[in-house]
Amino acid sequence: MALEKKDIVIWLSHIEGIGNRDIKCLINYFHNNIEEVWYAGRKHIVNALGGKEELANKIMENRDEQFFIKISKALKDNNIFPLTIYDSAYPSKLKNIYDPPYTIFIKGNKIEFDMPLISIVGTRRATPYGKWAAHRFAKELAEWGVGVISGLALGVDTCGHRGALEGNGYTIGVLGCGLDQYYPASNRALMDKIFERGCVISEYCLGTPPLKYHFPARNRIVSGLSDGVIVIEAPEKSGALITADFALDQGKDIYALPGNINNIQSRGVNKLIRDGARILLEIDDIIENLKYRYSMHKTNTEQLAKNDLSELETQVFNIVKRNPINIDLIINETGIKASELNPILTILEIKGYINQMPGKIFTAAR
Amino acid sequence: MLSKVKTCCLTGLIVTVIDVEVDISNGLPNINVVGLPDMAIKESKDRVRAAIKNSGLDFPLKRITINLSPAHTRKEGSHFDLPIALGILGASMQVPLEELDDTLILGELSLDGKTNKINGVLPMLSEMYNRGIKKVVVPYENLEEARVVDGIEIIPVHTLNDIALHLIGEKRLSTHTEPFRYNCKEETDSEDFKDIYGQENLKRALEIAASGSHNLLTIGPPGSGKTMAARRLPSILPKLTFREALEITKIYSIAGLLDAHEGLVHSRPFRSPHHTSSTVAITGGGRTPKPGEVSLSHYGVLFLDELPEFSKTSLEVLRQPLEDKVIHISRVNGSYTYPADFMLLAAMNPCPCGYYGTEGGQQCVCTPHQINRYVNKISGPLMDRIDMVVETSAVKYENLTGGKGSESSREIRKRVERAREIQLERYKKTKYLFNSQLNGAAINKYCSLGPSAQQLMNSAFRKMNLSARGYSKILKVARTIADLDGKDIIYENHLAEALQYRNLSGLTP
Repeated sequence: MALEKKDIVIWLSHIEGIGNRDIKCLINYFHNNIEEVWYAGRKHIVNALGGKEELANKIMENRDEQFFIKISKALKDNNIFPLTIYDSAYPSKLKNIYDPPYTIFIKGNKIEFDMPLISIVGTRRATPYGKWAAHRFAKELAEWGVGVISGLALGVDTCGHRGALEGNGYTIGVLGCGLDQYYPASNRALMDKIFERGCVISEYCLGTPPLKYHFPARNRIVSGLSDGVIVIEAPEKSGALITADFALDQGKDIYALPGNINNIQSRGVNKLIRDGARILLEIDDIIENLKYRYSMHKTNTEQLAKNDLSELETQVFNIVKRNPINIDLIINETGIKASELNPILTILEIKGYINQMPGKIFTAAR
Repeated sequence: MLSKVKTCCLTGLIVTVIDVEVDISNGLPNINVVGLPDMAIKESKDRVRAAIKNSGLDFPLKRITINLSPAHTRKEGSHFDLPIALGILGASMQVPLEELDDTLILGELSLDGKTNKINGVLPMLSEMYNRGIKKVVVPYENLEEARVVDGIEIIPVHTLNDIALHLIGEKRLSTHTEPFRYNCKEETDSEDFKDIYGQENLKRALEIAASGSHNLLTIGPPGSGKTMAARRLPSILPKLTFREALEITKIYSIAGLLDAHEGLVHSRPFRSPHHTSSTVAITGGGRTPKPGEVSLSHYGVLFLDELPEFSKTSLEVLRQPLEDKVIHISRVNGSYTYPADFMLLAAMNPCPCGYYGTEGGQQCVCTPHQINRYVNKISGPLMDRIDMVVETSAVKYENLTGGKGSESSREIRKRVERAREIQLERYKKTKYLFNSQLNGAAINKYCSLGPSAQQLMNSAFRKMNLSARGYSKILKVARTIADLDGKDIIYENHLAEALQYRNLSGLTP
């Protein structure tokens, strides 16, 4: 059985200890003829890896067709589709970054990379404002037919994915571990939904645990796959800022959500704005830029019927539209009793005018 | 000589008739109590000896055997002193006992012969009255409590000497037979809802919860008035009916928490155990189980402040009483059942530091993991039993222009009472008392939606991701809101309001 280039890369990424950088060394050493790795002598391999004897031993040990067949079978059984840099389907956006992963493993019902894609990143310790913003912009992107990429972590990432799904859009999750693991475990249901309506990607083979250093590496894929990165909330030292750095290196647009200057979770984002990132005030800020590359159409528009609100409903909506506001303050301002205001708020929620946030705070939905 | 008098004892709320038999025979002076007495009863022989002596009567220097029959049940309590003393006096021919044939005797004695207040008089008397006992001797301090049992003839005694002279005929005691008149006192609580500025939404939620006895959880940062509002809840609870007062009093009587001047508990219980309370303190227990907080808040409110700070087991034990409205406690001494039909009112912060979701000012410093762990202390099954969730946020003083007068508790209470009456009328022939108790078929039967409300429910179901359980909870709350409005059918606005009290906390990961 003659292994092709892509098979060799898949095989290599399943060998414990071999990372993307090692594969790069091998490719350079053998002048792009990566097939050589299967036949080359141990000495060459050691030289190629820069003297890493142990890794070379592992490669020698695993030069076994049975092992490769086992890998292929495992991938197939798990419905995982491997894509290597030698495949024509490999996302071109990702190919153009400095350090593209040689193999990405993909699982999901819809795999598409050539559409407009925007990543949404931010801290896991998001405030309700951050969660709301992530959800809102993701949903609006979905309505514009833009796919949302994020890292499936808690906080901002989760809200981004959820927003995209709620807008009936496409979303890609990028993991820092093997695709057979649910990490974090609490996002199991979300991940299953993404498998159904989008896909989940990882550069790590099955069974790889979520190690700390995987996550910054994962971030380069998050930004690499996208046309632009939205940073929702990030303290001064944060993975989200690492993603923003990657995006900068990769030449992607960075959109930063302005936050309260007193808020620790917004400090990093506000600094991004000071340093020249695009400020994100409304969805059009992104759409205008995407229009140069793609033809953009708003799909799935839930047009609000005009005049379907009663006088009181309009009064309440106008107050909420001004500023996110707590229910008690609405009562205080309008003098409407709680027993009458509560039904109005429910109707506005169901009609899609307003959203509710923790603490009975209401915000305009759009 | 042999004598015999009647008394009774309590195991939980179950009353057993006890015959105290005293035999005096010749032999070495000795006194023996048999028939599975507990320590309090064994010690009673010393109290009785001193009390008889100090009352100017003779304590026979003979062999005295006291049998508590039936001999196979365990007895406990200090109210055996008086029957034992009378038994001894009767057996030694100092007083005639014929008059006491059908009389129940209860009472504890001091060494000087004075009677002391005892626990559990009401549950014992009301049960014994049903079994045909028409006359009772009780300590004077239990008179008010005993009077609650309508139609029973009460002989209240101050001292052992009083009853001895009464039986001899030298100085007859007056008996009380006048019928008991129940009048629920108007609450004169100083804590009133009108003292709370802002928080109109929380006040409204409490009004609904009080009307339908719905379990309510309030979530909010420190200083948002959760506890303050909760403490004022008793001021809007509906008045007790006599039947309810009777049941509550029985429990308080057993627990020994009854005020001597009040025969009856007049106001709905409001219990707020501290979060360090043990599981047994919540459920009730002990070697011979005493009622716990769940029973002491029977027909009232159990307020658990800082809900996630309670130990996991203390919270989980609430599940069964919340479902069955009674609690069964099993111990070596037997199995006890106490009623536990309470409304659960709980308050908690949104996260361990308390400030998650607060706009401006204090900022939350918790990690998602910490928040998850905190929130997950409230298990799903417990959450299922909570009908309403209200989130509060701290309102800044300067944002409240004041001026707009807030409603007083008295006004709110009037509405609550009306809603309560509507429910009592509707469920007259059923086992239900409140809307919150409805389940399964009963929900479909009593919570009929108007056509526009049905439409709203359908769109809410889709839009708000309601579960089947959430659906029935919302229907029950809507039923109460409609009752507050005096409507037979649940209209759109009732349902729409109920939807605001659904649980949202699951939506924020």
